Amino acid sequence: MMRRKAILILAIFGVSILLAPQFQASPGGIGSSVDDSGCFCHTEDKGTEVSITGLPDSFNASTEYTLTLSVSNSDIPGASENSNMGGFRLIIDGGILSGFDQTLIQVMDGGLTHTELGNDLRTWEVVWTSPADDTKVVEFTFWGNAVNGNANGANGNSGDGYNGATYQVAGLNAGPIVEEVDAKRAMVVFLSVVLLVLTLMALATLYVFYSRNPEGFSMGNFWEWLKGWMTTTDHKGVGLLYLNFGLLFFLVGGLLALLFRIQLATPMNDFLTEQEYNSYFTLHGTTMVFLAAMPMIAGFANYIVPLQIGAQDLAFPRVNALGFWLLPPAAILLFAGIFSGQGGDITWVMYPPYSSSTGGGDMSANTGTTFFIAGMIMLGASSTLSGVNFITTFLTMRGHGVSWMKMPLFSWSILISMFMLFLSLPALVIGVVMLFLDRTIGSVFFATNIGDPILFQHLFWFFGHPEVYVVIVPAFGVVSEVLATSARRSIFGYKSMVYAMAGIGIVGFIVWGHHMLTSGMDPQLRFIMMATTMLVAIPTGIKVFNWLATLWGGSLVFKTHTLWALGFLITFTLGGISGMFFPVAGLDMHFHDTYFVVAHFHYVFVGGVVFGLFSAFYYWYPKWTGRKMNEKLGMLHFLTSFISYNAAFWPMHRLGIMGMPRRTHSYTIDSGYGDLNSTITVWAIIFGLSQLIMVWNMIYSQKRGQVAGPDPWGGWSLEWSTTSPPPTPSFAEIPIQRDANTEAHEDGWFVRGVKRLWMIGEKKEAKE
Amino acid sequence: MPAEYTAFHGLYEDFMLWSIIVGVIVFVWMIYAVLRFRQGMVDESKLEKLEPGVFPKERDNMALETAWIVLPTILIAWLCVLSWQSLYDAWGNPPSDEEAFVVDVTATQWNWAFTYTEPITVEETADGLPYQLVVAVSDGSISVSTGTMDDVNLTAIWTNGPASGQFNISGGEHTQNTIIDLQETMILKINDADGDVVYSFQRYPAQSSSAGEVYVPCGEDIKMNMISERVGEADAVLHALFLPEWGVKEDVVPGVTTMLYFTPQETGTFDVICAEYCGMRHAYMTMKITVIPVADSVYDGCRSDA
Repeated sequence: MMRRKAILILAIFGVSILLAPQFQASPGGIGSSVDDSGCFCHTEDKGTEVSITGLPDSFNASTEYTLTLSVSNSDIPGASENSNMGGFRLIIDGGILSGFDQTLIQVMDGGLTHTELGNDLRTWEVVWTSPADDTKVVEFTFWGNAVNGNANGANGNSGDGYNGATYQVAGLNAGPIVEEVDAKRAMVVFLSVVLLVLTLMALATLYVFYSRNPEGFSMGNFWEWLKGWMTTTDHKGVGLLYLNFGLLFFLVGGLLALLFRIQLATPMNDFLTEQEYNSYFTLHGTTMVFLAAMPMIAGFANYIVPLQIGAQDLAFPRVNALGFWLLPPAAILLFAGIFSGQGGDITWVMYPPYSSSTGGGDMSANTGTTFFIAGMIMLGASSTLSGVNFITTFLTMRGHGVSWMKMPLFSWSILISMFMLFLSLPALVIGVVMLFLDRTIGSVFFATNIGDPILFQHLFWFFGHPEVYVVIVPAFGVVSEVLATSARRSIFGYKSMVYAMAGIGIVGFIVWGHHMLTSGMDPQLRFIMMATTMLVAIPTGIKVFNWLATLWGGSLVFKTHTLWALGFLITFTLGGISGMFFPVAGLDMHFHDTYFVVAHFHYVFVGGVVFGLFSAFYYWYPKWTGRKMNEKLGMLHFLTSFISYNAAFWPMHRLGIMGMPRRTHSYTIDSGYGDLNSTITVWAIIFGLSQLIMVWNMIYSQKRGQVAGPDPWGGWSLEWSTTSPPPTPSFAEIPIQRDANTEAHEDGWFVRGVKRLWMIGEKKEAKE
Repeated sequence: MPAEYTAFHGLYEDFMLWSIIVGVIVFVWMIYAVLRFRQGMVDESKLEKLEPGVFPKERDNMALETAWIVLPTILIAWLCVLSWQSLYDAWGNPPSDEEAFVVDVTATQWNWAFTYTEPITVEETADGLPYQLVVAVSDGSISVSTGTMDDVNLTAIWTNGPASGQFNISGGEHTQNTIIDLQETMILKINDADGDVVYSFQRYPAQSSSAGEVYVPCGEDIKMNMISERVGEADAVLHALFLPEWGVKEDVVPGVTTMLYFTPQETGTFDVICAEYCGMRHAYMTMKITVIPVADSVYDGCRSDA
């Protein structure tokens, strides 16, 4: 009973807020508030007719025309001569309006409207002087109200009606009037597809539920089931939520990319406006990193890590669920601006002073930027919670026999990436909070002269560079697992793999300056950053060579996840090699902020992180559904994606060398970028579409896939020892991991040689 | 692609060479391993046994692992050596304001303004004229000589600071005495009867700024001192001056004067691009830079347009 009352009160409150703007009659005149949305002050249309008479078909230059503005509605007679009968607003974009009775008509917000006295009329007269240039087209926008005058002042709007009309008058020498193309069409495409995706998601969710038990299906059960998902704190449930969320935003981010790829397909294209383009690429970057890659990694970490290390759940299951449920509101905040055409347009790196500037119209960042930054703060909170949770789990909850150096490499990669995330995030959160304050309360942390715009770049990249390792290191872990299992061998050089990942984790913290080599940073610092950046290649090289050595002498099975892991090896190596070009001053001066950078980080982000995650999807899918994904569809997905991916991103290297800057809305015809860009767009669309194969495969195999059993691929780590899907809690009792290395390790010839050399020195010392 | 004489070019070739070497090693190794050691080619019973819940037998080889720590380290050290000079060239060795041709750059949303700190004269004569056009511009007069008494109809249009004017040349010579002040920007264009420009003369004195196009002399060290300024209510924002022809780029940071230098060794007209995202019309913050010939330059490419 109480609840119903509360809902009723809330509903009334909500409706009154919605109606609030309508309770404003304007006997004193109508300002610019009606220009876009119409004259809502007088509720609705109700058959009111508005017209301007006296307009010429085409005007002569600098000529006076007398116009009669009239509003009529036979259903709304108007009370009497002396009470309110009508109102209007007239806006023109050329010429001058004059010759009106100033007691009846006044100027307001760049247009004309009635006065208090003029409110008693339904026709008004003005003189329009046409512009001196008769090649122009002048547009008249006219809003009129028929008022019944039932009340003066507030609340006098009942029974009134409004309407609007626009007229276009061309000068004598103007060409034919060209219909203005609707500039919002790209937006419409985006919104429609997002809506379509959401609808399909809802249907897919319903179908998944239905297919579990077709006979016992009812909506009541469905809501219960959905509620179960929304309140789950089980690491497997939260993990799957993360994965679905990540996949959804992978598609949304990809869709944004396709839209601006269409914009870039031809020179001087106007498919997107500059503002749309800028906010789309901003959201593409942020979505892909924070709403797609990170949640997918968190999803695998959630689902797989406790199973691999023999923990029953994560250390703080509720904190874990909170970490996930911070993401949807964060996503809404990030995207909030875009639906009003004012999406955050500050790039994913959010450099001030542009991102902190407000109030400069088109020259300042869009208003949606404030939402965008608020969303970033929430993402920071979510990742911090994950970091605490995972580090604690690793430190305290490993099963029997899972000692540090007996932990599967995927778990190691998550541990290292969570450590990096946890240590680097404070810099980002501090940075975005300061940025938020700069935008909202006018603090001056990053203001010119008083504050320091470069400071933000340091804060951002102190986080940003470790962040790119935060997403790539788990992919290393996946590939280590997949390649070893597929080659039916243990990984080559387990210890050096762990040390290499840890090395990347440490060196990753002292290389951030290479993102800022041309930022006017102190040259001394640039020297240091260049040297440290080159160092990263060494541990990365160790990993690649160890993977190749793992394949050597093995018995490689080509499953879909194997193909993705091999694809990862190819593309990641290419991306790693192109990365070596950046720390070099003479090359970076040219490559910085060109398409070469775009090519490089898509090779390591898509070819590295995403391919690694695809591999993980095919590899662990049987664990969480009990069925394998369809191999034929998987092959098709791999072939189409791998070919189209390379065809789309490889030419970007060439564009970068030619000097095409990134974040560019368009380019000229004689720049010569057109051919490559068209090719890229075509392949990018194919790449985008080919991802649907995987989505379909996931839905299809849920029901029809081959039954997997506990260990379909022959892996060794603990997650393969439980059933698929695992029970809740994941282990009835803490499991024991045994160890095949029973005998002491024998030294090889090299180690024996080194030891002997060592001993010669010691012997000599002893002799002396 | 930056010009062949820039540091970029040599470095790019070195790095491409090493990239290809590393790439070939990795891919040949990988393709061989994948094809040779596929299922069915190897007796699986000889491999380590993988069992769920059992940490498998470790495999390592200290010699190999040391090799692929040491060899990449040597390669990296070598690449550092290769690139060290360019670090010094790019940032460590700026020419002083006295010895270089200095241009002050002011970046706004979304325009570049270039102010010269020393005067520059740009002269261009159309090719293939049937007569010898000689033009002299000095304080107080413009003189034009075609060296022929034939019927040549030319029109000269000039602007000089706030003043401007035009006169006709019909055969022979013409000297126009007028108030020409070379301390103001002087632009002179001579058109033939068809309206084609046969001769253009531009002179920018010190402290004048050019709009639309910037001119620098060939063969000299060019130094750009850059600042970012606000327009209207908006804050000044970051920009980056990017000259792809010389492969150089430096951010323009509000409140700081940053600097960029290069030495053009060939004449021509090249792109000026903004490379740091600066708001709505960032993509259109472009201009042209023209390198003008210098007769007594040490570089072949600088002496004439040819």
